[in-house]
Amino acid sequence: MLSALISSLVLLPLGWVVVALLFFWGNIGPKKTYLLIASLRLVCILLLCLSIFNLLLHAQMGPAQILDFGEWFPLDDDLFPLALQTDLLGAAYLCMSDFLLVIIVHFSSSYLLGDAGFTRFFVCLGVARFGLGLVCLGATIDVLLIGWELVGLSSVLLISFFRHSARAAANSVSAWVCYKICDLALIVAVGLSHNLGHHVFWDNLYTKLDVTASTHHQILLIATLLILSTIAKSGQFPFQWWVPRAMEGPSPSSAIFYGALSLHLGPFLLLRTYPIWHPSLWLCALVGGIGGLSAIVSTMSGRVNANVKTKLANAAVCQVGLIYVELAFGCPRLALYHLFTHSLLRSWQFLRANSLLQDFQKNPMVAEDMKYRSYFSLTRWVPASWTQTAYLWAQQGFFVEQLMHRIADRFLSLVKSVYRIKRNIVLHGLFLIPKKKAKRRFLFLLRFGVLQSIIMALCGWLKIGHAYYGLICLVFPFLAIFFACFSLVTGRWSSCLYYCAQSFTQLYTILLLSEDTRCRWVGGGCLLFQMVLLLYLQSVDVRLIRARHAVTVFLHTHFDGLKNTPGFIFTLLLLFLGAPGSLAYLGQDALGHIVLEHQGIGLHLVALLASSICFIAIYRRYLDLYHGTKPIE
Amino acid sequence: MDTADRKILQKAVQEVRKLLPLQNPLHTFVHNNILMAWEDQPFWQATEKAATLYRAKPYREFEFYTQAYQSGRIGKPAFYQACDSFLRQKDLWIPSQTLSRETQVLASILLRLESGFFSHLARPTQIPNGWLTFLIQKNPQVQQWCQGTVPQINGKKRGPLLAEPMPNSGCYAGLFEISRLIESFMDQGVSPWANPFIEKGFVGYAAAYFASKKWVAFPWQKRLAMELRGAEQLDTEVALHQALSRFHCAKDLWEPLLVEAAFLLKGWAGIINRLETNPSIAPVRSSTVALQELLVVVLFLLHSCHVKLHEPGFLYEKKPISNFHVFSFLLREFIQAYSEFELREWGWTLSFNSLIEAVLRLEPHRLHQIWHEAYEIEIYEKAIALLSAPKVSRVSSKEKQAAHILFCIDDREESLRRHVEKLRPDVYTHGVLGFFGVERGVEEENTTRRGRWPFFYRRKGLVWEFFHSLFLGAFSGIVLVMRVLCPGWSGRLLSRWKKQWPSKSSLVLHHARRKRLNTVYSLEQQADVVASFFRLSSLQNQLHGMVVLMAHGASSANNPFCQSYGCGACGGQPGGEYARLFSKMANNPQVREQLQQRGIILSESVWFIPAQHDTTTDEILFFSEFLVPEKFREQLKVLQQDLYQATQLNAHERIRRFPNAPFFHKRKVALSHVHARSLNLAEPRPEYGHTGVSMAIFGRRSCTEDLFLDRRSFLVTYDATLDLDGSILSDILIAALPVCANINLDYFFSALDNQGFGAGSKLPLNISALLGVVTGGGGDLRIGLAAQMVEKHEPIRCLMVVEAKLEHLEKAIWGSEKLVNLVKNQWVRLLCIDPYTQQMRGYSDAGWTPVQALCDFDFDEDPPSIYTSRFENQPSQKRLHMLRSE
Repeated sequence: MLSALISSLVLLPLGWVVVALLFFWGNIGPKKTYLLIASLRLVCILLLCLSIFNLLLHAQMGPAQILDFGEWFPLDDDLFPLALQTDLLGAAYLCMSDFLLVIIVHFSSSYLLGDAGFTRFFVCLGVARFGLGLVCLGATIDVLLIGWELVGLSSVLLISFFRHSARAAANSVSAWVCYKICDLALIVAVGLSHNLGHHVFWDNLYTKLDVTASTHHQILLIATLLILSTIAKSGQFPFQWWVPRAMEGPSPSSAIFYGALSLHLGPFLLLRTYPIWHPSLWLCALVGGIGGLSAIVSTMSGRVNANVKTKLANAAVCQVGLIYVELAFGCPRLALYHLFTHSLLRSWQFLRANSLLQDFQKNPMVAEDMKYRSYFSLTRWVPASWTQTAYLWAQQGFFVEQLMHRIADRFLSLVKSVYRIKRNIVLHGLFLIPKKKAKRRFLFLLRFGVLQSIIMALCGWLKIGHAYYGLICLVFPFLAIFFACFSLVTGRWSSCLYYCAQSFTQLYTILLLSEDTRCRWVGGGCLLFQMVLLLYLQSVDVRLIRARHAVTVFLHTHFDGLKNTPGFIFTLLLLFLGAPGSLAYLGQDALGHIVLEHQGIGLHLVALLASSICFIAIYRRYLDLYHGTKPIE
Repeated sequence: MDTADRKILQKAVQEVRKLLPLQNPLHTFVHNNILMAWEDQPFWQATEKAATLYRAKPYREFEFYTQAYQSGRIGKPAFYQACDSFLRQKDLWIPSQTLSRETQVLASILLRLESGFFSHLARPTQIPNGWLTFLIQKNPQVQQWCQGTVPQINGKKRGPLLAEPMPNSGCYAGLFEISRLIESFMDQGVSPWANPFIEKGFVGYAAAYFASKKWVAFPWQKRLAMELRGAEQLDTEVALHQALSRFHCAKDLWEPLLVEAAFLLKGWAGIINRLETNPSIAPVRSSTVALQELLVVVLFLLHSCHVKLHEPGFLYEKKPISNFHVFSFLLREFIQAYSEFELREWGWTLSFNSLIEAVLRLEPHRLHQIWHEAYEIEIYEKAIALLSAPKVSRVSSKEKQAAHILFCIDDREESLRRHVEKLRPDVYTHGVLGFFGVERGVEEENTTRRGRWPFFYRRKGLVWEFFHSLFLGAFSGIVLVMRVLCPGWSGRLLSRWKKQWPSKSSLVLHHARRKRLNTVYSLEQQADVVASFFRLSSLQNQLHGMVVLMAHGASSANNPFCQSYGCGACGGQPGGEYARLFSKMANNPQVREQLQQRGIILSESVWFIPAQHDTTTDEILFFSEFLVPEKFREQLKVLQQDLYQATQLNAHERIRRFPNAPFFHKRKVALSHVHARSLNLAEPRPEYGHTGVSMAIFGRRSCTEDLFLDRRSFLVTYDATLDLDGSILSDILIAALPVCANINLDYFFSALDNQGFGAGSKLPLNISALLGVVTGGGGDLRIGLAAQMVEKHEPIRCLMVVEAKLEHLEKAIWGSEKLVNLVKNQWVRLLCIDPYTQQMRGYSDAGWTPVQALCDFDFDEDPPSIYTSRFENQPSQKRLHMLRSE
């Protein structure tokens, strides 16, 4: 019965997403809108009841219960268990998120009514809830990772909710890049945790932490990586700047993501891994330092900001920083309580943020406060230049954002300058493309890529090419990633995708070459999908280039329908290119497993980097296709 | 800088000030024509000019019009009419029955054009078939036309000097940062730290800001910081001169350059300009940024981002459409039309000259204009038919008058008036300006005001925040549930709780001790106010019995545009206070004595009762009931019950437009629904405001008495029979016509292009510096109205119907420059009805033309029966005349 309860808690939102995508997408009439709203409210209330029940149940049961749903994917002697668990922490967090979900769904069903992206909003909300279920109830880091990615994805999609706004798109990309940087740490932690043995649940991760055990250092490394991976999601110090930028979506999405659920996932993960990192004084210092620093920085930024939502975002980051500090000082219960109360308060403030003007109208005397403030400024005690400097530093968030942009800019311009020299040699020399047909160059590349991957796959399958193992291992993936970086710089998203896919192809070929039969299966499967993807990309790009050709016309008419389907390309790409749960992800993980066993982490990192760039490229591609002056649903 | 340059600069800045959107801080929102500065130019010309500045579309999308045509919203006659006025190059909106053959041919061709018409034309594939070419070669006249291009016929036009900044450019990022600087510089009390740079001035602040980035700055930021550091110490005009000289352009381009630079941040520049010229409307302090300073910073930004100026006129030289193509296309279309229509009978005898000339004047914009005018004419035609229908008038005898209700002229009161009259035939309603002639606000006694920030916004710093979120967070969970899940219920609970302490406040006209305040009205002044009000609203010696002064206001939650739902005549304020003041004056026996000396007799049987209608919740609040004399009490109670019924009907009529109205249409449900709407935090459209407004009728109620105007018309009471010399007419037109036109045009432009002229969607709006709203995390201040407010509005210029003698009307219009501009340049349409003969005449470019209704309507049906079903709110054409298509 418990397993039914838990699985329904996780799977119900998934059902909601699927049903909304299938039956309620596009321009729906008033009757269908009513049906959608009514069913959503029902599902939310059901979810809330279930999670309250779960919480009550747990209060009687005591320690965490692990529900093993069998192996997700058995590979060699390593297993990927699909396991969920319930304990007080997960149940409580889920209960609070369901409570907020009921409120947010009710709120948005009238707030967003009539907007072009009505269904899209609820689909994103459903994806987020599905992810939250996995994060809260997952028993292993793998399951948590899937949920973690999904929450990030939906939050980013909601930042770019309004499709005619260029700034919304740009800001969502910066949030996405921050997420991706920190997710690298999480994925490495996943790989390391697989190295520890089979069935690594949270519980036995705690028990393995023994100073005498050989795994001690590895677990500490995992803990450090986990702490680092929470920084972006919670908007802590070096990444505190994206949260105020994420206010581009509709108010309820700001409320539920940056007032409550998404921002507090960092403290949640820290609470989850509390027994692992807390014994180490250094890690405590790390957590406390990050939290304290971001609390100070964001409270200062908040005090100089003159618009409401930015102020609220800064205040939220500040409080999350304080929760980090509480955790570092060893008060997990206080932190949990603070987390809940803060979520409630902040979502309420976000929801009524637009009332500020009316509040002012009702009490015009508040304005006196302002005169008072400027009269009693700090200049009496501190030299004016100090105040001014502090003001400027606070206003620009201690220049962290600017610094990051600058570094990225420097790096990218370096890539550009290198590329300019070698462009002709590499592209025209290596692939022998005539310069005149610049437009068709890319198409040629795509065809070439498909051909290449077919040949590579055959080679792998027939076990020819052992001799080239080393060469393939090192040169090709790096070359592909280099080009991927370059195309990312110049904004050629399709070619970036292509290069990422290429680098994956090489990596899967290595899998194909391995001794193990199952590894070969994974590699072969991934390669096959990769090829399908490349073919698909080719067709899409033919459409974009709009060459005057009979095939193009056919594709144009054929794929125009696709453009109207719900982010079809996006879903497709996510499925094939390293999204958690996809075949490519499995292959990547298998690769990581093989590599880590042989103590060579380089290849794994290459794969990770490729997948990160890929994700960013896919997202940019999505924005290219769907953002414009005229929103397309 | 010499004096000549200084003069040019000053003139240019003056021009910038004139053209910037007239925008108040949102808490003092007043409906204004957003293009008020262009009112001295013809309407479409002005709109197109302004659209390039605002980076907006001057018309709706082509699909919008074609869809309207397909759905029957634009009829064929209306389209023919619009084509006719295009062909004759005159603005003729008056429906006429006889149209020339050329018009019909032109219309039948234009109807076939698609939206991609002009892009098709530019392609070489449209070269005509051999025999068409032959036809062209045969005719020397045609040949001559074919050698020209379209733009040459229209003369030279100037395109914008500055390209729109691309999202990935430094200029785009820089504008965002500058808007953040303005926001924190102009802040009126949102941020707890006051800006320490106020004494330094805006240029100094910007310089310090960009210089502080030193080590991490992008090259353009470094350049900008250097430039600003140099200009920091200079006089603003010198600095502006310096910034302009960086562009090395001719001096006559300074003005357009400054205008375009200001319009890059049009919202902020507009509000800076407004607060500079009118400091009293600022919430706390007037503008701390001077417009010149802003211009200096923006210009230096443009320069340091290496923005190049376009050659003037580049836009139109880029893609000339050859006449040859136009002609060949048209000929082909014409031959098709010839084979399809009855044109066959006419043969080739038509004179092509005028037709082809007209077609050669076609540009993308002209085609849109024709469509838009057709879209408008359709409604005017219906309105004319409606007004010319025979009416059944009530017999008005003084004995039968139980009460009078003075409503505001607002279009939202039209439906309520209709319902009240239906329920109580013995109650007479009038439309008057909602501030009742009282102009000053006064103090209120016995009220309490909180003097601090609302609880949840007080921010005392890190430690306090910490405890706040820790201890009060759980409490806000309860508030969340109450305010979000059951807003109506919790609101009612709250109001019931508040009702335990009923307000005993009263207004103070004479204050013994605080005479220096502007609140004192002497008895004579009071008598003046009352007398002039009676004169203006044709109520002199017309009143009997109870007179309810029905002001109106609106209440909504979580709505930055709350003020725009208020009473337009009272400057967006709720009108209740004005009604209370006026009744206090008019009920005063001493004032009545004074009035008697002036020939205005208010007997004891007349008593004024102030009340306020909430247009969102449809509640009517009566003020100072305890002052009502005993003999009226009973009557008042009955009237209040009837008014309650009328508001139920009114709410019932209103809710059919709301997308989330209840399924079951019971009157009581409707009333409680609109009440809950106003309290719901999640409601972006608490009411639809002036949506749909397209007419203003100045005349007696007998003109409009039985008509179902569907809340689309301002109703101003004016009795031409009492106005012998036309002086009242000119007063009331000067007072009311601009108000109507401003409201109408504000909605017009926001509905035309909501991104360019309006505020965009309400959902991501964010209040900035207590002055206005920005979209998302920052950026330029938004102007105009939000998308949710105008989503059901049809952009139609207001049809002003005046029931008066023609000579009086002409005298009134021609007496005021403002009215002349509005009427002559077609910002409004004017229709005159003779009060005695009921003859209608419309004003157009052709002068006063007699107007006759073209279509007939069936008047037997009872309108309220139409809007009973939830999902079928589109009635048939026959049944309801003024209902817009939804």
